[in-house]
Amino acid sequence: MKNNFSLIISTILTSILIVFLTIYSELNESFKNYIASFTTHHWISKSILTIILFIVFYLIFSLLIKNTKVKPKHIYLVILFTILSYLAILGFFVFEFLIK
Amino acid sequence: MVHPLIGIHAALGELGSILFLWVAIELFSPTNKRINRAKFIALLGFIFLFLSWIIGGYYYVKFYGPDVKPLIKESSASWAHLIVMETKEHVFLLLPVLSLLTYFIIKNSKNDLLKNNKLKNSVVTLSILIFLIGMSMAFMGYLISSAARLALEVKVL
Repeated sequence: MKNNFSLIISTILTSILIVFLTIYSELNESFKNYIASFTTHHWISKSILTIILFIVFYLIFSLLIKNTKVKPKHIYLVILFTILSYLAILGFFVFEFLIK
Repeated sequence: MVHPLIGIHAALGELGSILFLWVAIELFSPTNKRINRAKFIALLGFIFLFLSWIIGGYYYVKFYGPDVKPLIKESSASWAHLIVMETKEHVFLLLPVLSLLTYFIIKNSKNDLLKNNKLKNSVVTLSILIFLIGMSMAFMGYLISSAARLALEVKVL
């Protein structure tokens, strides 16, 4: 994996995907069962999807973007998305707990 | 008795996270030698976090789900599963991805890290973030284990 810029984009997209899979599977039971049906457990499916999509995103963006250089602002963007993903997941489960 | 897989999962996760603090320290004032060492430590950190993911996942699906989860959910500390475990099991997925990204940036940008102070600072910040998320996972693990013990004690008494 030599294309740093594609790594940055695939990391950000993967973090968004993790948040989406987490929240949407809690809100939609049939979606949770659907992704669980790929393996034996929804969490295993999410884990495998995380690995597969990180690699797929990287391969796609490596073909599309030839710029391999990474700038500090790109890394800070990853940091920002990571913090937002963490807060979104934590906030969702706190909210779910409080309203039930 | 606490299942040994929890100890192995926690030890690997904490060691993997601490290795990223080491990566940050190596990069504070980088030299060729320090960057090479940071690259190796980041790879080791990724491997540890990946193994922690596999072992923790196996324990979660095989033992936690059927045995511990119902116990905690029925207790007065149900928040330990409904908030803490749910957050932990999903936020953890970010760690292997972030640690792999850090390894490849160090591997692919050795010369830039020596020359570009701003790039170096951003990688240091990313490494510290991995360390802090890892430590928050450890703290969440402590809360879940404590809730499981409490639930078990209440059931026994």
